[in-house]
Amino acid sequence: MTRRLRSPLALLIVIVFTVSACGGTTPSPSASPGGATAAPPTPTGAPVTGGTLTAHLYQQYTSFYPWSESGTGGDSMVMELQWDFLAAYDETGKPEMRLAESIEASADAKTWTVKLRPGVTWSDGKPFTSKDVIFTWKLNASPNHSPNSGLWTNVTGVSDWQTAADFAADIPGITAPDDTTVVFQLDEANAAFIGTLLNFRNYILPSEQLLAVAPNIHTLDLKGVRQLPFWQAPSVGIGPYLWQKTETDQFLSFAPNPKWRGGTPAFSEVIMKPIADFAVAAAQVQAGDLDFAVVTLDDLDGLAAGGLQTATALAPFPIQSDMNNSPASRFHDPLVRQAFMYGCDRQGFVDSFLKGKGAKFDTYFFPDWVPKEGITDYNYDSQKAKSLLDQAGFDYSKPVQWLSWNKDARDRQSFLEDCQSKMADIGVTIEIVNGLDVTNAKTAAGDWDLALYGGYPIADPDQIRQFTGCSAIGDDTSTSKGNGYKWGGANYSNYCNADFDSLMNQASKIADQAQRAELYKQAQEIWMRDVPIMINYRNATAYAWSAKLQGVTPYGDPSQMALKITGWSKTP
Amino acid sequence: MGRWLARRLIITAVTFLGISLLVFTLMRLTPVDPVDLLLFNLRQSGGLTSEDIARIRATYRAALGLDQPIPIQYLLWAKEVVTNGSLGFSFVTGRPSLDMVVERVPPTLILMGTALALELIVGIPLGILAALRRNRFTDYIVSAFGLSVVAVPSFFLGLAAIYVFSVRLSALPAGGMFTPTRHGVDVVDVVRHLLMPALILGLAGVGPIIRYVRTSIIETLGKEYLVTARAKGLPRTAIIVRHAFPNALLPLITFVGLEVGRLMAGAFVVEQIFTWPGMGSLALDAINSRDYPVVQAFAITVAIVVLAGNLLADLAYGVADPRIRLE
Repeated sequence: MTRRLRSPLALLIVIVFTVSACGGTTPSPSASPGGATAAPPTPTGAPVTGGTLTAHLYQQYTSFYPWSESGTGGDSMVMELQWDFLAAYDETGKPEMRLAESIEASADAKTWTVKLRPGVTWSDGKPFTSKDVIFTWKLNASPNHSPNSGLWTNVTGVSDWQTAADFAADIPGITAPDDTTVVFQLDEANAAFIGTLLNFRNYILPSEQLLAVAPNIHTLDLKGVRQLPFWQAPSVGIGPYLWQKTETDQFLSFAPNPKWRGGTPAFSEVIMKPIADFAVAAAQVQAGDLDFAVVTLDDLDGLAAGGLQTATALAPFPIQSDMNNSPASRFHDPLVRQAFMYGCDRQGFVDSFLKGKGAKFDTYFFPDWVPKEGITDYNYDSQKAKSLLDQAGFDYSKPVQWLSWNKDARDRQSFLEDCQSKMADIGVTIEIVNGLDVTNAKTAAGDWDLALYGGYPIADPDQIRQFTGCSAIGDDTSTSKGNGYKWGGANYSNYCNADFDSLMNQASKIADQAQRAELYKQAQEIWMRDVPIMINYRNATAYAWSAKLQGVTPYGDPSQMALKITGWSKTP
Repeated sequence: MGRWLARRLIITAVTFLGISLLVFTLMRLTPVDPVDLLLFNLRQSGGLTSEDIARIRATYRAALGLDQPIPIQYLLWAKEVVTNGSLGFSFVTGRPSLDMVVERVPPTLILMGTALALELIVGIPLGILAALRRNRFTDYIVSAFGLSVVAVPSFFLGLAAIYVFSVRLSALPAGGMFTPTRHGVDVVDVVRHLLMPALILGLAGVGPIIRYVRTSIIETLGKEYLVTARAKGLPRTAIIVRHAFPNALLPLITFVGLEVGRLMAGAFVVEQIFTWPGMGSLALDAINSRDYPVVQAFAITVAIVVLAGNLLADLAYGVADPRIRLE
């Protein structure tokens, strides 16, 4: 999912709002430090039902098709109103049941049973049943319709089903014993399968209604499915609000779903306005045209001074730099990788550029239940970095190529420039290479040292296996011009450690979390020694909303902000 | 006139064909295509093997028609245009690309038209005033004003205007084309939304108009026939309005013809700031997501507008100066 969290206009709006703040007399609600959610000031008046909520779509909306090519944050937000998930991660990263009542794994972690919430109906009154789930997964697992089809190959029979290409046929490993039960049978144990079930594209679709408009939907090609008018104007929903109309590039309006499973939602109308530039959104929320907006960290203080409620939340995914672990690379030596961990002042960057709202992480094992005691703390230490590089016999004469495809992401570029300057102090020359076309070509060729990009939202440590496992290294050496770099797999850094792999694989087959935690603790120790990937920092997402709005729950990922919109209310 | 028009229309059609071919080819020669972008986004979801990537690439390239050589793609596209009047479907939304562009034409034309009208209403009198008060205080003030509105970037003026008129004074809406909660067409509401973006877009063109009109009037005022008119005792207003201004109009017509292109480019920025639902924001999104059919439809529509602007300018020459014959 693409995310645009920075704006070239941000600096300007800061100037404008600083002027506003200096002259303002409104008391300022403060945002809490450390990237946590701030306590908003208590608004006057009690929350009431009714009224219009006007919220910011921080990325362009394209359609209600869950597996669109772009998969924008704007699409996610509107689909959270119209559709729903079996379950989704809450703002703290824990699974929260939604259309499902429970999701349970068997002791061997090979059978996953989803019990659906009884009594739920679609907005047209038709019951929501396991048929809808089965129907949806036939699209979700179909390579003709979903870019996520690769996620389901561990489900029994999916690979053969995909090869046979009869996508109207049932998938053997996904069955519905009754109207409120769906069973996913896996070929191999996977204790973290719930992470796959909670993928951000797994909205449940209305089988009966979609088959009515496209009886052959599963056998249509991608173009045929994508061009169904239903995805632009859905006639039925299961979420709290229902699509009413789209004014192109202006707004989408939604009405409350009287059949919503939680009762009648608070607002009589929800307006979602797409605004790509966060500085413009900040201006609109300040002017009262928006009740809620995603803004930049730069704008936050000015908006708070203007009487708005503000908060930040830690992004679930880090900004990371893969280090080229392939045998011929200078970064194959762990000492060099450790040196870069010490040589870049990541905490300093968080404190200054991210205003202390982001966070520095050394480990990719984010979940709290993996013990963090005793792990190496890679604090900025240029002398230690220099000493490690000397020890590794590092060739200072050759510049380090650090790829970063998105030059326009101001935080990323600033981090690189900061690191470039710090490493220059100890004699290392860093060459920053920008542009998606150039970085794609260099990545495939293994012609790089470090590559920066937005990383993975790790809700379960098992996900780390997907991009660090030895088996996830590609087998294509045709692009690498003899340097030994392997392209094609999900393990772009080409990191491979048999001990690490073994621990991660063991943990994936155990359902008991305490036992898994012990194995992950050992794996994490290896990770900290090897540091195959540098976690540069975790960003913070900033929000501002009207003083009249209550109950806003800030998520680290802004695309999830509408998941708890039913908890919002507005005083008149 | 008829032959001239026919000749111009043929030239326009050929230009048109050239533009479509150029845009079609150039877009497809950019190093990253929509499938690369998709795969890049998917890569960040994790867990994709080389087989997954190869399969997704093949499926999507075939679905988008990108698996064919560029000349074949162009011929298939041209066939669709001729037989069905379709410019293709958006890769991103699945909607007909022409629909997506056409629905944004009226907002863009409203914005550009109002901005152009403001340019002329403000710029022409100020240009005449500066010419009549040549090298005097008023001339300096008008010229300084003209320079400053050109020199200050639109995005700065736009945000400053939002701050003053929307945030501080709550006098005008900060963005959009109309208030979402109002139902039905409310002209006053649209005008309130239009005011700031049109003013910001138009102001950038006021400076050049002042300069054009000022120079042209000064030049015309020195002509012998105006000296004669003055000697005959014609009133000053009559000299300016009936003799000097019509003769000073020709360079202005050229400028206005070219101004259509500038307004279109300026609208990209202004539409972004004021969330005006015009073609600029659509084009930016389409280019960023490599949505070829939409970019193509956009380029063709812009070409029509710009070519029509130039055609109208040529026709206006004939009206303004009967000596110019359209042959």
